[in-house]
Amino acid sequence: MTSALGQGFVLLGLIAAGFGTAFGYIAGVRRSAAGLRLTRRLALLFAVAMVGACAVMWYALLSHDFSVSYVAQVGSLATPLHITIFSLWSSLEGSILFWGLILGLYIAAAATFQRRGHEDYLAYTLATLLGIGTFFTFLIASVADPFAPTPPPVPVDGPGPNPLLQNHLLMAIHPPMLYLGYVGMSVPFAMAVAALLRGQLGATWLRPMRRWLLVPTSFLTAGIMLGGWWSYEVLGWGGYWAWDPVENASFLPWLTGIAALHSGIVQQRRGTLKAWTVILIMITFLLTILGTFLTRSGVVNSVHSFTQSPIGPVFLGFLGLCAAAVVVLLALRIDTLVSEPSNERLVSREGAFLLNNLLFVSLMFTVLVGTIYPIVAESLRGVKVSVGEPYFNRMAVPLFAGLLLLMGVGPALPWGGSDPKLVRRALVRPLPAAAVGLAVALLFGARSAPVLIVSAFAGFALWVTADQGLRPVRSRPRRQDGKGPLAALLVAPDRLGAYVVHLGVLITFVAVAVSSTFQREAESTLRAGDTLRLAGYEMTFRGAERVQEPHLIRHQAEVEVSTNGRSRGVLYPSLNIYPNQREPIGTPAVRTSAGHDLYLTLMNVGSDGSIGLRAITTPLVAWIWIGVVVMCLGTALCLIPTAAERRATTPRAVPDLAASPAGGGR
Amino acid sequence: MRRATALPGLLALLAVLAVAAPASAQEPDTPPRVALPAAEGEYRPGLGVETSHELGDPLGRPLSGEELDRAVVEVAADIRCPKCQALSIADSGAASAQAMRAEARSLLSQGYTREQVVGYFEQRYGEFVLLEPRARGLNLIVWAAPAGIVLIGGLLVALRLRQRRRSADEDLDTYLRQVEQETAT
Amino acid sequence: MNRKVLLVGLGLALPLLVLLGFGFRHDPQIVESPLVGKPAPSFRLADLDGNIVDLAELRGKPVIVNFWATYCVPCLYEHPLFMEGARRWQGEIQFLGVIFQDDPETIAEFNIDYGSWGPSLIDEGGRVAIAYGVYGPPETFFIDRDGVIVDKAIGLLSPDQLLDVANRMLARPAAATG
Repeated sequence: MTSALGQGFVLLGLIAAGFGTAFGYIAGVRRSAAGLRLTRRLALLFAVAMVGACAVMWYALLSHDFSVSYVAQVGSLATPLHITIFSLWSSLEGSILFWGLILGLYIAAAATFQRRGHEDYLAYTLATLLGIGTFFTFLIASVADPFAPTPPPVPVDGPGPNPLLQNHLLMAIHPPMLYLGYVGMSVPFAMAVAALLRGQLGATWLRPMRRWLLVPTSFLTAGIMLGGWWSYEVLGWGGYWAWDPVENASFLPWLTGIAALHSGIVQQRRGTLKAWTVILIMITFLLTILGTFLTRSGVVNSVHSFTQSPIGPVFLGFLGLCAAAVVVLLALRIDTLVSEPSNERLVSREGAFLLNNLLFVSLMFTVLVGTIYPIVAESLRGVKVSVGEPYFNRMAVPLFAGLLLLMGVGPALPWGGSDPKLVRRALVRPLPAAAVGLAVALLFGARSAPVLIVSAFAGFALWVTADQGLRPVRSRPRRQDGKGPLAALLVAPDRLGAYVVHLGVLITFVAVAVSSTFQREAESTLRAGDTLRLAGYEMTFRGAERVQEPHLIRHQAEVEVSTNGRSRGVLYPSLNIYPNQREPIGTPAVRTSAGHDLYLTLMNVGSDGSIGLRAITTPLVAWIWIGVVVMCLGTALCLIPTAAERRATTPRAVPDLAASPAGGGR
Repeated sequence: MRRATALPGLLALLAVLAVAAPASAQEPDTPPRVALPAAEGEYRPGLGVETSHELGDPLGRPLSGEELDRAVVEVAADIRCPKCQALSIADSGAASAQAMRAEARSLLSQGYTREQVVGYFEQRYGEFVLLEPRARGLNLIVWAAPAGIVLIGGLLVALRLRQRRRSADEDLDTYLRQVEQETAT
Repeated sequence: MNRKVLLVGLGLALPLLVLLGFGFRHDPQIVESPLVGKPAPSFRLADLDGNIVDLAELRGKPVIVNFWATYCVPCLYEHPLFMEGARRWQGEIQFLGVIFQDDPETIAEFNIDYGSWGPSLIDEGGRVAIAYGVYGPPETFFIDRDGVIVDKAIGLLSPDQLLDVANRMLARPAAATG
């Protein structure tokens, strides 16, 4: 019964999406207002169907209806309520259903919020989005059907979700954030397709597109950060980023998405880089599909891989289809997007943006090549190879350092850059800040060249970010309506937001550089009463206890931490042993402070009551997460409409003047 | 084929030596036996595995203290933990990773170089165990790609700047001419 | 039609797609051992009762070395297969079990409950497993009369593979050792 209801909703979604795709394209070609209205209704119907399907699945999970195959696969009577709710996305079929839900919500949002001012494109945009929706509902209805009835006899209880995913609450929010990022990239992609089909790309396209690109990029940022945080809090190896293939897969669209955000600024200001922005958006979308394929097909060795399933080839087919469509569409229509003539110098704001895009795209290609090279080697040489952390660090660090430099130099440079005196002044003024950065690093004992370079660049960039971000305050007209500095800043919240994002990036950047360079660790076998010393900490092992829980056995060690003889509290690192799990899974105990983290992991528990304890001190780890939060706040600021936008009455049925190449308008 | 028949003989000889003579009383030209790492449980002299004949002579000097610790971390950071995903044996807490770290420590303390130790793991586990592929043959793709992409991209940017400069100059010319014409009339 | 875009696009997308398609033909879990065809690393280990087993002394007789543990589910599935093999080729093939990261006491209990098909060797510090490049249990190495590894199985060993490799090893006489 539940199965049939769920499958009914999925089928409804499939029909709505299929017809919506067809009607949308027809409405686009004919520029029919009635057709657009119908497409919008179908888009909303698709969203309703996806919400319904997920509601049915949640109902089945919560009522432990093991006649639904997905519930029999991941549910169990013993699983706590909140984990049961999250188990919707804990396994393959459910995660694709959840994907469908998010896509439905994005489509509904696009159909609602872009109703006005984007009419020229909306029919094509919705048609493309519903085309993607058709694929996903088809997947849910066929090879990844979570609603399939369980073959009899129906079990009375299930195994519960993957133990690793039950370990920490972060696992509940990390996947939805990533999905919101991945799926959200469909919207700018659909807009890019619409722009190509229309053969025009103006202000009514660019502004909404940037917004719809900003949102998923920000979710992706948060998702990647939460994944790193989860890895740090749960996996017990003391790090947050391992350059694992699936981590890389989430990183790829993030890189091109950010590149597109930046090239969009140039387009907004100069009317150039139109075709390039469209290409970047399309690559970003293809990379999200590639990432999903890598996660779900099992072609790469990864901690995140779902089990092998027939979904892999279907996804590869979809990826191929999308890639072919994108290439053909670009080849046919790209010449319709004519950039405005504009002089460009290397040492100018435009030049910095070009280099920014060069570095982001190079970084993406580097990570892509490194990630898929093992498949290349295996296919051509028949040998399995690994491309891991040492390689990626070696390759990515210089590129990141270049981006950090540009983050300082770029915003300082004037647009056009035609006045050499102005350029020189802009580059010289922040130099003292760079010197301060360098001095601070030297003061803290940094001697390695990369750290010193990063510190100097960061000092430079910090000065420029603050200077540019606060410029509206300084240059605001005196005594103008008694407006305070805050009001001045909020005249253009997107500008302020951009520099807040940069500030967050700087915080995270420095924290990553420092934390990965100055990590210290000690490891020892301790008997009760023994003490391990590291970086001024004395860690005394008081004893271990064995806790039997319903679904696991936990060995928990009591470790008293003190500095200079003063007790600083007790930490409880533990080792969890799940039945049928090869290696025990450790849960580290972390003592976080503003300066550094003390991170304790239990390596093993001996039969004589001794423990293997590993202690790691990592400076500034907390600032990595703080930086990302600042980035997300900045993004939120960017989404506030600017004063100009607030004043402007939304034009209805006014032809898109700026769109036609001849129309000009910067 | 010759190697395959000669090596078992050598193996047998070494095995006999290992059984017959205690570790200290070996012939001077054979490298020192790999010592068992201090592990819990009873210690049985002469037990374990023979690796020295495959590794050859230690090419470096025996390390100890902090220098040894640093070398172990350096080697371990480049070796993939066999049963983990993408983690090195330096980062992993898995039992087999701990065993491999202990092996690296033991070999380094006997004077084997870092390269020899990495080579030993590669010889046993295959190239897969190296987190950074060796720069030879097809692997050069992965080493050359980043620089290649930056170069090609840089070239494209440079071409674009030149082209833009030229067309902008032309535009300016036409604009100026237009202005002249209009002001003249 | 912009040919440049078409060619560059196809040039980037096609190879990538073909490669990913190729990726399906390989199991990411299986890594070929570089030791096949090479002499088996010699070891001397004690079993649970303290008896010493020296691989070199077994020269002339095919040896099957299985790395296993009680927490590993495929190992448990393999157990009856090795029981049957040890019975069938008693005196002809030597079966050796090397304990991979497991507690000897647990192994001893297991052997009492389910029987054993050969000595369970204690690999102190896991050094033999490293010398054999074992990724994780179960892994099975087939060593011929000359002490050369002729084959290796990763994961659950199938009866067919055991039969096939055992017969191959038995059919070949030892080469002259010198």
